[in-house]
Amino acid sequence: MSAKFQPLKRITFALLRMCLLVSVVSLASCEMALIENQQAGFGAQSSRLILYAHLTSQPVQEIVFTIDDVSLETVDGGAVKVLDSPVEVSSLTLQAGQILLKEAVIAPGEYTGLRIRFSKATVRRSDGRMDLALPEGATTVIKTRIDMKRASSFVVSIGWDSENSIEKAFRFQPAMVADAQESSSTGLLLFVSNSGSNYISVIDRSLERVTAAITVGDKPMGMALNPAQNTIYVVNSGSRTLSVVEAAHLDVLDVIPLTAGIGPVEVVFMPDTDISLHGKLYVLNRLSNDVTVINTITRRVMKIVPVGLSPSAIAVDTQRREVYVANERSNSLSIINTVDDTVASTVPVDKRPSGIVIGNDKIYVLNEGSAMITIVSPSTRAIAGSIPLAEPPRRGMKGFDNRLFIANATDSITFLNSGDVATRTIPSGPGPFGMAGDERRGRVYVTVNRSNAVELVEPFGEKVVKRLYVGARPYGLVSLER
Amino acid sequence: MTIRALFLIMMLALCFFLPPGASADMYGQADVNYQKTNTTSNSRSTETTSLINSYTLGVNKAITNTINISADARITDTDIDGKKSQTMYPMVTLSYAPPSMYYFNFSYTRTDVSPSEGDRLSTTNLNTAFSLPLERYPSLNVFMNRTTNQDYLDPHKVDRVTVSYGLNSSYGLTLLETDAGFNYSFNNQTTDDKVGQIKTEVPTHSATMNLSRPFLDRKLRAGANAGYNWSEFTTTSLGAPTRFEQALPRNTGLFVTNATPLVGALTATPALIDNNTAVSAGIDISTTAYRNVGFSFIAAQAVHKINLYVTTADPSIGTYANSFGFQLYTSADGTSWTLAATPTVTYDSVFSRFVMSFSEATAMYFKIVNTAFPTGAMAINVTEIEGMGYITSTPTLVTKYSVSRQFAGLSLNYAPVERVNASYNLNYDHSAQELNDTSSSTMTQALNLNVTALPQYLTINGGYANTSSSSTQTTTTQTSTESGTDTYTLSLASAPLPTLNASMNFGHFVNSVNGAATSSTNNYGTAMFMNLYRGIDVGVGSSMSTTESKASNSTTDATNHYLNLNLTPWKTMKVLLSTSMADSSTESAGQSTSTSSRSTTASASYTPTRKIYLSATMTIEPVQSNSFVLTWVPSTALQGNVRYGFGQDSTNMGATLNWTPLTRFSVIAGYNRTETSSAASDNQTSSFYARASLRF
Repeated sequence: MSAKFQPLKRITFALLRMCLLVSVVSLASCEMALIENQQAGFGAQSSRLILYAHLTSQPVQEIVFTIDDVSLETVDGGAVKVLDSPVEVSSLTLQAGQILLKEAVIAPGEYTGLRIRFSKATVRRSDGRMDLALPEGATTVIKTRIDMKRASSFVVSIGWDSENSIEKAFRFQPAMVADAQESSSTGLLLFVSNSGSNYISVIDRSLERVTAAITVGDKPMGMALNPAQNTIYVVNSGSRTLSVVEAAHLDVLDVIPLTAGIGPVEVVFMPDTDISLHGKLYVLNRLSNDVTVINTITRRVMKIVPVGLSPSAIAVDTQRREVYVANERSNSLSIINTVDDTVASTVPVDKRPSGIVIGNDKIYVLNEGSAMITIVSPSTRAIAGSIPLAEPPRRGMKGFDNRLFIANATDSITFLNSGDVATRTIPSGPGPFGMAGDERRGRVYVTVNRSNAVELVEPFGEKVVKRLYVGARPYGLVSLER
Repeated sequence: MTIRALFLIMMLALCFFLPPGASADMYGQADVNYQKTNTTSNSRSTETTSLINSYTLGVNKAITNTINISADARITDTDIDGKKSQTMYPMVTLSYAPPSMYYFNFSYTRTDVSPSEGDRLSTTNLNTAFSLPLERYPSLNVFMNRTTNQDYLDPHKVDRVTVSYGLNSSYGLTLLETDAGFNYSFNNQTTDDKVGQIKTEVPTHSATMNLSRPFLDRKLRAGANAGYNWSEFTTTSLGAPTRFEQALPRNTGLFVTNATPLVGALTATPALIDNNTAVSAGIDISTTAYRNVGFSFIAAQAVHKINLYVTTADPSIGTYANSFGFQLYTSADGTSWTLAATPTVTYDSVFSRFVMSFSEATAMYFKIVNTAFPTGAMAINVTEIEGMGYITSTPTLVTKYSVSRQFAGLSLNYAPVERVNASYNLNYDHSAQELNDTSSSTMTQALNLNVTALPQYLTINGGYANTSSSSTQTTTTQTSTESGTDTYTLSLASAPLPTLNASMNFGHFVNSVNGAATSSTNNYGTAMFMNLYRGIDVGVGSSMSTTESKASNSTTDATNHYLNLNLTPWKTMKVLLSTSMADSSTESAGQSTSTSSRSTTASASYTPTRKIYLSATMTIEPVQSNSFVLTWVPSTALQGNVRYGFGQDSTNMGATLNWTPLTRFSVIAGYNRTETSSAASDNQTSSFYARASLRF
């Protein structure tokens, strides 16, 4: 090292030593403060119940009722309170999509059903809104088996047949069933990572509602699919681990510690050419400006690949066997050759690249800082064109006759046609981010980060058709399709 | 009993006898992966198999609310086509994470690979990081990673150390409505290949700055950014060993006049070794024979040449080289001498010295004796004597070059009213590399205007982007290339009814090299979507494009039309029909060629319950093929998937089974088979794979 860098080297090592000292010295006081401020919440000894409601029939009249209380019935006849404040439910609101009633921390155990107490029910008639008589005891009981395991999450969605819930035109007699968490066909599943929580939500794309939740580590963010095993790798940014989730049984198979890199946020999977069940994972570390390479057989860090400043997005091309990294503060794209895991090339792009979409012989780099898409040719590793946009793009996806869909930083979604011309921009919920598509059902799914939901977009009609509520701060999406 | 057998026994014991909840801090896992692939091509078969067994036993303990320690050991046995290897991976991680304050992490991983063929290899990885993710204050991340790769051979075939350390710091603030962000990063990576004796070091400095401020009552927002990256690549390697001739350091200068040079000590004469060739040492060899002039070393050294420096006014000195009858004597004690050689003598007029060459002799004392002297010569005084020897040296080769990059950008976004939004961006990027003396610059600018002329009925979006790049290389001959692209786009969109929307677009693209357009493309497109009835959606569209290439002197016209029909006859069923027609014709040098393609696909998915999912895809054009997938979930523990597809020349089928008989035990098994046959070849590939996982 040349002499002019010696001071920096000394400063860096001195800082490391000082950091170690600061960590040790402040440990005791910090521990005390934490113990004092410890709040009762979801932990290793508790479980989480996520209660939803959805419609099972098409409503022709507006029925509104208020749920005062929901309790879980225990095996010995007792009850555990779930709801702490009344919730108003409307058939017209449910028509727009499943709603979240409550996310509650519950003691682990087996429960036999749900007891729901109502306080009010009304129906809108031609002559105005009319009060309905409540069912006997103002309570209804739905029998179902709810097995709450320790440190796990469990979804129950109350299915309401609103058209068969009024008896003799005056009594509210709710026809309800409980749809408890269970496996669906993996080919129908959509996984949503909730970065403000510690679980991922599972949406059945056929039913278009949340059907399950899986507890992972703290702040789950990026996800990657291993299609041969039907496993999802989830980056837990807060706990610096990777959860290996088995899609068929909605279970965490393994937890891989991330022993290198700071600020892991994203992950992609590159399948092995010989052993199809396994491959390599590339974890993007936003704060240490590198990519950690992990072998899925050994579960260990194989290599650390330095990239540019503040890497923000990562994408994989399994055909070319290359990984692309957008470096937000370096305004560049790093191209990693996965054969030897080295940076093969660095292409300067536009301002603040924050997303990458792989197209047909094109890499679309979404530059949030300049509202422009830079097209990079993977063959020449040079800029092949650019697309000006009206809104700053953040994330995107390709599909539906080679079209491009963009989630913008300004709470909107832009549609481009197969000729890469922007045709329309529509408003979305606040903070659109992750995107995934379902070609068979004609749906584009978008996480709207600041409203804790996933929006379902009709790609041909270019409009938002439904909104599903998931966990806090939904981030990434992975769709399984066969 | 092997370690893996012990592992497995412990795993089984813990799995079946550990009560739920007791293993909160411990975890273990045993995985078996098997894959067998048969490939038959024109009656020739090949088979590949792989069997990988992994066993993990670990502990994850939260020592306090913020300190967590985890350690595990993993053993992996790999057998790929008979080639076996065993790998052990002990690992320890200590992490300390007080919420919202700072973060500290330390981890150590060691991997030992023992292949059946090849050398045992050990890899260690030590990683430590500290992070201060502070808000409103500059954040700081400091990190260090040290990786070693070493085999167990002596000498090593692999012995490499890679050390990476660095720091990042960011600071964001808002001052006078201006959002500002600053970032600095330093990273130094050193790789020391001790076997190849090659050391590389790359320090990198990066600094970026962002500014953003609203004006005109927030109708105008201006932003700017700038950045500078600088890296220096230094490679230090050792070249091939080379022998160099050099004067050896002497201990004492010696002189005596002695006619019996085989015996007798010499007198110390410092003037002979004072490195002053201008002043005489008082020894005249022009008139007297048997002048014994020499030197001694501290220890015995090999000498192959002696230089005897003289000073004289005799113009014929150059002809006297062989007139002295010089002889070389060596001694181990300075008293008893041995005649070592009669050297070959030449006179070097540049340095005024006699150069005496002989076969290499090793001794502590050397002297030369003149057995004669030239007749009639003028005074020839000795000034200095030195012995020349060889040293073997390995030269150090250092390659050093730097790479730098500067970039800056400006953005303006103006929204005077709600329905109008205009933006302009300008970016400049310059990179230079010292090694090849190359530099490149890129400038991009983009203008975009979005107008909602009639809400719901008409939205107009127009854009222009220009990218120009130039690169220069000056190492041999200066070459410079400039290239550019211009993009013009315009789109009109309307959604007059909730069940109807339509759009039109126009694009014009120009590519140029050194200022001259090389190709241009015009394209036009229309698209319409209609919700005809509940569950019946139709999308139609068409596009036309014309590309003129000046480089190939050709013109290409292309058209594309598509129709999508999306049907939802029941809630449980979705049918998607799509058809497209694409035609293209190219005229070049009076020749015309055309291509045409048709595509028609129908796909259907049927989910009568959550337990059954059936999907089918039928491709009618361009090549007929069909595929069917059935997924069945008979219980929460079991899920099966069957796939079948066939086309004109190919058939493929497969099945996957996911089974979890116990909470702690799961199995995945799958089978795939593909057959393709044509007049020229007949190929089949089938593979079976399985993975079983046992854990607690």
